[in-house]
Formats: sequence, structure tokens, C-alpha cells
Amino acid sequence: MVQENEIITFLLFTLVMIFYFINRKKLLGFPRKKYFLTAMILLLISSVLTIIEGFFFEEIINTAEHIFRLISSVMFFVWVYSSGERKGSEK
Amino acid sequence: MIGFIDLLCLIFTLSAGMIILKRKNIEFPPFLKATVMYLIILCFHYLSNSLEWLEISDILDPYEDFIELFEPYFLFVIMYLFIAEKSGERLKASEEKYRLLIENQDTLVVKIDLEGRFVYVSPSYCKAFGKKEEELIGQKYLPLVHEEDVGATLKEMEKLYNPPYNCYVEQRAMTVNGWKWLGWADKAVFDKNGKIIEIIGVARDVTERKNNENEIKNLKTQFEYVLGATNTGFDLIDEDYNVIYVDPVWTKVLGDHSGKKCYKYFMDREHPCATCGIPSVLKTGNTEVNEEYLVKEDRHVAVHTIMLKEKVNGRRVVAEFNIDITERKKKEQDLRQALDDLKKSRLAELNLIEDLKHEINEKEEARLEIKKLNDSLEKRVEERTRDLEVSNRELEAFSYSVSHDLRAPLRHILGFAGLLKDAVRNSEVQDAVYDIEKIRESAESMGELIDDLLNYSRTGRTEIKVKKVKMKDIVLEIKERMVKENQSRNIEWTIADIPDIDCDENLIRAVWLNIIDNAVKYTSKKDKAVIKIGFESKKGTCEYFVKDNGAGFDMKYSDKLFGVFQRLHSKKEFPGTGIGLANVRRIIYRHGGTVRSESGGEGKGACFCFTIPLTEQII
Repeated sequence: MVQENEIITFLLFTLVMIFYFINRKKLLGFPRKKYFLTAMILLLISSVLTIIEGFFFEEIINTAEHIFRLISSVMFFVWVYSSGERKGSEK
Repeated sequence: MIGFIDLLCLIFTLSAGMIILKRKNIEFPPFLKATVMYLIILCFHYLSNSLEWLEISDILDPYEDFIELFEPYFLFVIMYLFIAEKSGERLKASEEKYRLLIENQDTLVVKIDLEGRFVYVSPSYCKAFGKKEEELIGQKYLPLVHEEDVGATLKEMEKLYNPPYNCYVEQRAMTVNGWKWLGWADKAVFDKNGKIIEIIGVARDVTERKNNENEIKNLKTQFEYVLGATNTGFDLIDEDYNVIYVDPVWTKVLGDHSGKKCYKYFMDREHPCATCGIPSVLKTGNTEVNEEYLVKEDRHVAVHTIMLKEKVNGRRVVAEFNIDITERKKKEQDLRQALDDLKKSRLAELNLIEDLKHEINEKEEARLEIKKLNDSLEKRVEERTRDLEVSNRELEAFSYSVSHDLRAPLRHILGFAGLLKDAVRNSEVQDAVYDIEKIRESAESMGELIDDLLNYSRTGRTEIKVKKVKMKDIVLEIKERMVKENQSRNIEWTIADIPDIDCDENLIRAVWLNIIDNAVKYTSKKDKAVIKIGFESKKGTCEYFVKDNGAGFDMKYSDKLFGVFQRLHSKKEFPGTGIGLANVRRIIYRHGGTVRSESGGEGKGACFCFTIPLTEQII
């Protein structure tokens, strides 16, 4: 079953990605943005999987969704860790 | 399984949040704060699922869907805040940059309102005037300006109220270092409605430049004074012959030079001058000096052309110093005129001297000619005198000979005529016949003498006809004749190669005939006669001789041999009248030659010589 909040979440993630690509030049100085971008894309994918799981292979896709989220969490961790490290070294 | 994965997610998310919060040594920008918020939201999300795995999820389940909606929102907020932060930083950095630029430079920056009160003063301005910002803000700027420059400043600043709303004014101001020249570039500032609200002024210390300008101006004034005092023109001309600068004195004479070519401006020509030094100076870079005549000013100048190192409007430029040489030219001309006059005068003198010399030469030549003529005349007189003396002597001898030799037959005739008279009276026929025969013989003898005299006389009167005569042919012809006439005699003839000579052929033939005939006659007593005929060349003459081994003569009588009817032997011994050698001498004299005779003595033969000059001296 598809839930409304899942659709809204997916649309919001899509809008965020569009915002990123529109302002990518302004975000040139964003620290370690490849990790941040990867994490966002993984979240977008997980939101897509969340919608798909309502139609078929619920368990597998749900597991995949959570694995993507886990990878996304790792990416956020790496982003925060590495960006903080960079700041420190710069200083 | 899912709950475990979410638990891991929770752990990573919490760790990330802890890392951010624990890093005290870093700045905490807004976007990181948003990140923390986002991580908190995620933590709630994963905690909800983890609790489900621990079967205590009922606590957070009602909020799960709501929390999920915040995840993309906070991602957006993180990026937005980053962008905002960066923009703010850029603006701040820009402001800082301009602030540093203004505060750390010597340029003075002020902002004044429309009443002339300071709204902003840069630190450099405060430093220059030795005042604090608070002291200046709200004060009017004009009191700081030199009173002599106030009027010009206000007048110039009126331009700020008209397009293009800016102006440049240079004014003196009392700074902490005394009066300084400041060059102000002012610009009007507008509000949103296009109304002027303030004026921004930027100034630099131009004192040094002003001083330099004044110094240059003074130098220029002095330079132009020197040019004017020395009547020297100065100009600058570019490579396209455009006049860039002309000194004021010259400009006053020639007028405005702007936009004119030098050849038109100075020389009133349509094309560059033929002797123009500009092209060669631009080519070689060397200084060149030419002399020109300025038609417009009627004066001569020596143009010193120098190439300048600096270009003007991208074109190479030459400087020309036109030094007035009119006076020098005039003096040169006067000097040249004087020299010409001197030359003419000298030439006239030389001509006069030459004429005098010529006249002297002519006189000298005339004198020499006269002397020569005198000498010649004297010589001729001497010759004539000598000839006359000879002639007189000859005439005397002739008279004597004639009277003596003609008298002898006449006396015989008279004597035998007396005897004939006696014989006729005595009727002695045989004696009478004998006397008549003697009278006849004497008459014949007298007739011969008279004939010879006539011939002799003719010889002196006959006109001489000179031509090339082959002497040897004449001699051989006479020799043949002698051989025929004396066939019974034994005569040995020796005849040399006698050269030809210019003379009268008939007269010379008579000479050779007389001499050779004498040689044959006076060798008649010899059993063997030897006759040698030859010649010798002697100093422009040719001496011919006839030598024989005949009777010879005593040399003391040699002069008499050439007298008329003079004989050294009796008629019975050697027949003849004695007129032959007289004829010889007369003919040879008439040819300008000489005649002489030699002999070793009686019976030792004789030699008769005569000369005929090679040059024409024939009378």
C-alpha cells in the first residue's frame, strides 16, 4: 500500500535534488560535498524503494531501503568526520 | 533484521552528531547547526525502527511519518544556509578588501554632503591633515583649501551637477607637512530617485608632479627665452611631417601650426623638401645638420635635426633646432663677392702682366730679329765686301790679263803689219805671205781669247736652275768622252760613287768638264795617267775632287790658277787659254761653294777640289 507521506517525502527529496543542481555553482565551496551528495542520492533511492515496496517484494525491497539508509548514514558520518577533519587541518 | 540495520543507522548518525558537537576547535556555522538538527531528526527516525525491533516502538510510532517529512526539509536548509553563509562571507570579504584598500593607501578619500560637510574621511585623509575622524566629520572642507584655490575649486565643482557629473580639480591644502598640492577626482552620488545626495572625492598628492611641472615650465620659459634671444627656432615634427610643437616666438611670426605639415607651415611647399633631414635621421638615429632658406621669413637657418627617444601618439618624433645663420650667410656672400672681385682684379693684373710680357717678348723678338738682320746684314755686307774685293781683284786680274793677253796678239799683228809693209815695199812676196800668215794667226788667237771672255761673261750672267743632279752620270759621261778623244793614251780611271746633289746641271757639267779635261791634259806627258774622282762629306757640304799624277804645280802659285787667262805652263807645253779654272771658280762661287787646288809640287800631280753646300745657298 502506498502511503501519502511516502509520496510527499519522495517529492520533497526530488525538489531538494533539483535545488542542489540549480545551485551547484554556489555550492562549490561545500565541504566534502561528494559524500553529502551520495548520502542524499541514497536517501532519494530509499524513498523510491519505500514507495515500491507497497506493490511487490515488500520484504526484500524494505530491506534494501533500510540498507540504503544505512549506507546513507555511513556517508553522513564520513562527510561529517572528513569535513571536520579538513577544517581542523586548515586551521 | 530491519531493526538491527536501523540501529546501526542510529549509531552512525549519533556518532556523526557527536563528532560535530565535540569539535570545539572549529567554527560552528549555521549550516552545521542545521546538520545537527537533521541528524537529530534522523536519530528519531532510526530510534523508532530500533525500538520496533526491541518491541517498544509504540512510543514513537505516531510521530514517525511526520518526522520523515522533515528529512528532505533539513537537507534543503543545510544547503540554503551554506549558500547564505558563503554569500555573507563574500560580501564581508569584499567589504574588508575595500576597507583595507582605502585604509592602507595614500589616496585620500572623502565623502561630503551637498553643503560641503564631511560625511566620510579615510584614515589616510585624517593622517594627512593630522586630525581625527570625529574632528572632521560634520566640518566643511573649504577652510582646509588654500584661499587662492577656493574660487577655482568651486567653479570646477559646479560640473558635478551636470553630466557627466564628475570633475578634476587641483588645489593646495595645509597638511601636517605644510602646503601640498592635491589632485581631486570628484564624482556625484545619486539616490534611487536620481537626485544627487553626496559627493565622493578621491585625491592624490600631486605636489611633486606640480613642482616638476613648475620646474619644466620654468625651464621651458628659460629655454624659449634663450631661443628667442639667439633667434633660434625650435620645433617638434613627427614621422608624418606633422608639426607637433613650435616655440612661441616662431608661432607669433608663422601663426598656428596645428594640423599642418612642416613643409607647408615653414616653407609654404606642397611636398617635403628635397634636402629634408627627417627621413635619414629617423632611419639612422644620427643627428643631421642641413641649411635651409625660409622663404616666408627671408632668412637662412642651419637645421639641427635630432631624433627623440619618446614617441608621441605612437609616432616617432624629431626635434629641430633652427639656428639663424642669415648674418653668417651674408658675410659669406660678401666675402665671396670680395673674393670674386679680388680674383677679377688679380685676373686683370695677370692679363696686364701677360700683355706686358707678351709685348716684351714681341719687343725682344723684334730686337733679336733686328739683331739677326743686323748680323745677317753685316755678314752679307762682309760677304758682299769680300765678294766685291774678290771681284775687284778678279777684275784687276781680268783687266790685267785681258790687257796683257789681248795685247800680245795685237802687238804681233802690229809688228807683222810693219814687216808686211816693208816686204810689200821691197816686193818680197814670200816674206809678205809669211807676215800675213802670222797676222792671221794672231787674229785667230785674239778671237779665241775674245770668245773665251764672252763665255766667261755668260757664265756670270746665266740664271741658275737648281734641280737634283746625278753627279756620277755626268762624270761617267765626261770620262767616256775623254776616253774617246784620247784613245792612244793609257789612263787609269778610278771613280767613286759620287752622291747626287741639288745644283744647276749645265753649269756643274762645265765644272766637271774643265777639271777632268785639265787632269787629262796635264797627264799627257805621263806614260800612264792615273785620274781619281771622288768625294768627301764635310760639315753640311760635299767636297768633290779630281786627283791626277800629272804636271802638278808649285803651291805658291795656286791662287793664280783660278785667274782669267792665268797659266803656269806655256801654251806650247800644254795648250789652252787659261780661262777654264776661272770659269770653275765663278760657277762654284755662284753655288755658294768653295774651290781649291793642291799639289805636291811640279811633276807630282795635282788635286782640284770643290764643295757645294747641301743646303740652298745658291746665288
